[in-house]
Amino acid sequence: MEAFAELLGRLHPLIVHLPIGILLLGVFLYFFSRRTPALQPAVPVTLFWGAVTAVFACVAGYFLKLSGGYEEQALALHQNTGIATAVLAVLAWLAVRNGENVAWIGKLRTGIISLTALFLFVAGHFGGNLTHGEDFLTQPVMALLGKEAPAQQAAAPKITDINKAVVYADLVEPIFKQKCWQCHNAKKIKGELRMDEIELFLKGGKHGKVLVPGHADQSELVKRLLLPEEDDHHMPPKGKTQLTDEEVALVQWWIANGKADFKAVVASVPADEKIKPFLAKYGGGSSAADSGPDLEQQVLAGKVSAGDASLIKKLTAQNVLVLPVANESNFLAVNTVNAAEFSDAQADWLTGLSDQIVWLKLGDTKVSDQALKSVARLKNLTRLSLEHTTVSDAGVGSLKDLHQLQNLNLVGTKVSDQSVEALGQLKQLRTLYLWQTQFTPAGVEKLRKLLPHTQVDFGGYDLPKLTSDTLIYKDKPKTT
Amino acid sequence: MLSKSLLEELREETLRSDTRRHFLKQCTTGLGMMAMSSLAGCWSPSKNDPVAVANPMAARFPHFPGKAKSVIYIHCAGSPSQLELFDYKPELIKVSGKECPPSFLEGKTFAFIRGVPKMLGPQGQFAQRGQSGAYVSDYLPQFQSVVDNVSFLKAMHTDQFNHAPAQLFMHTGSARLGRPSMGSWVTYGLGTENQNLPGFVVLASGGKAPDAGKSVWGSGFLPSVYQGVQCRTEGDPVLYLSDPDGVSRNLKKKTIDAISKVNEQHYQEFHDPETVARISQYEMAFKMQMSVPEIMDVSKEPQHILDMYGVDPAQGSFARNILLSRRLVEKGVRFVQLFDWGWDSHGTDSGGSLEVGLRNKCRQVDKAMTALLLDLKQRGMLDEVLVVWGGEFGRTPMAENREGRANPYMGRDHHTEAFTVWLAGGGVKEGFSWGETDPMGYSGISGRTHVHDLQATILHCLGFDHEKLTYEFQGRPFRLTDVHGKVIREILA
Repeated sequence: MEAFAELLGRLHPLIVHLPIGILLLGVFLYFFSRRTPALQPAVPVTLFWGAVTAVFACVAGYFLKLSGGYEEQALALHQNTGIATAVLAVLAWLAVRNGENVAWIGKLRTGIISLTALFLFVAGHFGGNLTHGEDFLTQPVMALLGKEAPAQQAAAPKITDINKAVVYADLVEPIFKQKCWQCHNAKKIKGELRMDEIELFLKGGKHGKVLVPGHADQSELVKRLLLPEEDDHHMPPKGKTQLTDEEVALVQWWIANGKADFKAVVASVPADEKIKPFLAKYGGGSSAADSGPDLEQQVLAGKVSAGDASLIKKLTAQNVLVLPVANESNFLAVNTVNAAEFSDAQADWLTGLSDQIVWLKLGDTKVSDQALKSVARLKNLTRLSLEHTTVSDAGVGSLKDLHQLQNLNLVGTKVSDQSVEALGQLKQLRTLYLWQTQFTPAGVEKLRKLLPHTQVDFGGYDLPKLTSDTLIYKDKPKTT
Repeated sequence: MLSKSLLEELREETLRSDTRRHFLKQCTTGLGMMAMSSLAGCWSPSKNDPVAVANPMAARFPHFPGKAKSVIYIHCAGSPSQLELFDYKPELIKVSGKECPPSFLEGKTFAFIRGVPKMLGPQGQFAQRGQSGAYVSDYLPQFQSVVDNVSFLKAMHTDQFNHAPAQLFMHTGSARLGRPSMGSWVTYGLGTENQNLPGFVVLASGGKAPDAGKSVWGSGFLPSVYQGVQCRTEGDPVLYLSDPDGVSRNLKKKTIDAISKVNEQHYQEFHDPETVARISQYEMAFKMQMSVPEIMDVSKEPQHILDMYGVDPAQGSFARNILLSRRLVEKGVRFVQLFDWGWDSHGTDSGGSLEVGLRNKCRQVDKAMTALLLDLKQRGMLDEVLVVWGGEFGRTPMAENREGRANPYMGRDHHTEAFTVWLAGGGVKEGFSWGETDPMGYSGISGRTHVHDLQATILHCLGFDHEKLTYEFQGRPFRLTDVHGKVIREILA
């Protein structure tokens, strides 16, 4: 009997659609029958069955309520409006059937029927809120208005630096929010488990705790996720949006390696093979300097007019390579690999292409500090190589206006600690090469502090002499 | 007499029936088409670029801005064992010496394994290295220090289980002869920056050429100007480049000018692009006479660099070639292809064994390839140079039993299902690993990467859509990745 009651309860969401349809039909027929009297006989029959199914739906709803898991206030609203609808439906039927016999009902006939329709909508809406969540209907409208609903925002978190992201709040919670909270929230506490509040989440549900810190495979939550989808205990239930493999791996990683710590940051949790590709999507697993927006991509995504063709010809005649960075791009890469005699005077020509030049290689040429004044006017410059030139501290000062500069190669130049301040202003730099300069380790350290997001490479690498470098392995046949 | 008159009559009849229309029709499919194809059939990335026709090696630009500008491809010919170097399989230790399960053998073909071989545990001592925690064994003690600069592809797989076809497959995208190599495709697409050096240089070491021969750096159906220029590591880097006794450089110049003039006339007459290639090759050879010996002379490197690479400048070696590759890309060479022979550890002799031969091969390259990454880094070049390291296939988790008998040394057979390749610099992630093999290391279970995927990724790093870098040949466009290949976006920075 109990099982039957539960089954009936679960059928409630199905059954309610009968009175909705039939009662609406009844209401329509009632109003149309005024013009088309031929329809009149149909009205009481329709309303009768509408009333019967409405009562039946109420009974089923009551059984569903017994199985629990719904927030009281919202449930009460739906229940009361639902019962009211059923009562009104019975009255409406009586009104059309016995209108002539009971005078006062007959007079109110139209009012009762209109009210039935109104309550039908109200009760239906509250019911919908219970099953799908309050923002279910408003979400697409809000999105249309440009106001993203909060739940959607959470689904696509904007993570700028994955290593500093909080594992739970930034990565795991959005998954739960999207795929679990619908049933495990304050309004619909399925299995007596609430996941939307950390304390209640930790407390667990009907079957106890769901998280075992450090042991993903022992955690009820993970067990449920991993059960075959057909299994009754599988979560999310069959038919609901499932977690992707990647999301499951992330939850497992948080519980196992992250000890289900709600405050742990990504960098502090040991990454395993399974999770690396996921973190990689956010740029994790690589050095800190690689994260953050790619300025170069932004520059190259922009549009500029084509560079002065005669100027390009003039430079090319001097063996300077002047090439677009790609097909259908007006941005230019300039390279002096074949023009060792390239000088300050020629560098001045480059200013005629100040919008177009994004990559500039002047290594191993005759340019000096004077040329950097021209270079400083190339406002879209993202990569600049000056290695093995006579560039010194005096010239580096002029680079501060290059706001797009990402890579700066000063290897083998005369720059020294004097340039710390000037270089320290180039906050947007991703890489800075200072090998074989007059910089001191202390100066480099200072610069590194000023440029926390830059890979400042001071070079001078050396590999230890290991005995294995020269050890020659000798023949030692396998004994069989 | 009779037969002659009959023949003459036939000829006259044929001539009479040949109308003006026939002649024109023949022209469009015959002579005309020949001229058309030689005019329009080639140079597709630069067809409208007069500079490219005059100088097919002129620097060009790719489809989209590429991170990498040049490539150093280190190929360990013979294929090093991933199970000894990078792909740590502790489970394999437990089953070492036990018979191979039938599921590993059913429906499979191996180069030498017959019957039921025994499983063979990893021979190296593994530990996680660097911040990224990549596994590297004690076979490569120096390389352990730079894993945070590298992206590993742990679940590579290929179609070919014999050296020559597998090498061809790796470098030309096809296991059969006739396709252009990767370096040829890249120089065809991008030209080269330094006009005094070849754009595609090949350096071979290890005493033997790769099994697939020179076709692995051939230009296939691309104009032959794009084929790799092999530089020898001992004696003259390029044979017959230096002036013979009694011939001065001036005389040589005059000779080449005269030959070029004749070739130019020939080109005016026949429009054969191969003539242009020939002209530019003569001119390049002349320029290379000066620039190549200089760049190939590693003794010009300071002692601390030689020490770092572990190079004795007097000896040709894999390590010296690695140092040379840096010198070449530094001067604007587009593609440097290194081959080193002797990585084929079957276990049939001590040189080809895991416990002796492979350790010695690793020692020869370990320090140099580690130094290469650090050296490129300190010069600010690693951002723009893509370094690729790998073999042509992998090795089996089973010990080889040639013709059913156990080999005298420890060895593994050729394996197509799983091997490791690493990439560094030029647009790939640092300290990253993609793909995973099963606990036995037999096959990739996630992030499986095919040879064509690797090729697509290398082209992508250079700014090419691998599906669009094509060449019209035999009536259809060809490309490096055939009809396959997917860029491995996961490893891109």
